Amino acid sequence: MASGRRNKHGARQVRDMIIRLHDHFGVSCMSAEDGEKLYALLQPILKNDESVVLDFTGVRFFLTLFFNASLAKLAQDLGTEFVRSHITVEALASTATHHIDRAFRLGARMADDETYRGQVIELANRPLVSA
Amino acid sequence: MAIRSKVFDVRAGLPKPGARIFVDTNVWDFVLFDEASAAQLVQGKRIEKNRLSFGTFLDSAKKDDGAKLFTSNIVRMEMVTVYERHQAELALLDHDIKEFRRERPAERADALKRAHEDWGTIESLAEVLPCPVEPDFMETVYAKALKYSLDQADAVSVCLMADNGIEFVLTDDKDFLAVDGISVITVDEEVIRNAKHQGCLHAPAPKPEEDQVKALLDFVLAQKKDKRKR
Repeated sequence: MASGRRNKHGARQVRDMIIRLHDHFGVSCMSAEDGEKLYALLQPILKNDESVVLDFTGVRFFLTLFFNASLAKLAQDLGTEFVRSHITVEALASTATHHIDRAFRLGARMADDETYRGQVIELANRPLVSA
Repeated sequence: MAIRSKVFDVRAGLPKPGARIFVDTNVWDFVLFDEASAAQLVQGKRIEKNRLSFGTFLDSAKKDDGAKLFTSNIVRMEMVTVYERHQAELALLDHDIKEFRRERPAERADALKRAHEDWGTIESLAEVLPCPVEPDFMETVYAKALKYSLDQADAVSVCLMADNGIEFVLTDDKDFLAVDGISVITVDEEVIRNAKHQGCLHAPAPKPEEDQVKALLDFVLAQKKDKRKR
């Protein structure tokens, strides 16, 4: 789980901006378009070296597409550790936290591993498969 | 290819309010397996088909309870195999999944873990239909597989759809197009072109409020026409 900037007492610093996902996307964070909107909201904040809280209160439905288009892309573009240290996730159901971890892992590998990146691009060009 | 099903373009949105839709393995795979959409979304590469529309479609199904989604336990089993295959491909062992299972236990465990996590996501989005194992059901599956040249898993899906009053299937699998009495929602451009040519491409039913707006517009136009006559 990502951890944001906190003071020595563990309290969140006052200047952290809060983004309430439900206000922007309703009950579902599922589509790539919505993920791209979140990326557009977050990118200038992080580039300005500011921290942000992602509050998932009221959001119940998730898909990887949303997290790939937002957090994984941010991790690839700005560095996973940097993004992790500037984002705090709140009120995300425990059954959905893997989306965050996997998005950061994907972004890191896409940034650092050229062979893997090539395989991912090749995978995208194949037809969808059945078992 | 002769199309017996009805066809809907996924980009046109939900086929009708409250539609009952079975979601096939290949769709879950694309919207959930991390690397499936990474080339386009993370790397910014354009991919041939705009499969991202599957995500938009599923999103509209969940927002405002636009549609009721279903899937099955057979899909779960297929998903695990598909994830293993993807991991084998990423580990450059794409031609031998058995070798992958033997030689890459860590990556294989990762595939199974991811499939397990993603199944939790699917359960939050769709009702999971259990697959009956009674002989009668399996006889129907056999008959469907024979009649429509379907593999067993797809034949099970078609039977489950029939048993549960589900008209629509969200899939990129062309095999479903041979089945009459169902409606296939697809992103495949070639299928959509063929369906249009064969007269089986359908547009979504208008929403009730769209009906009202259309009725109002018709009324205003009729009034104007009437005035002109007078």
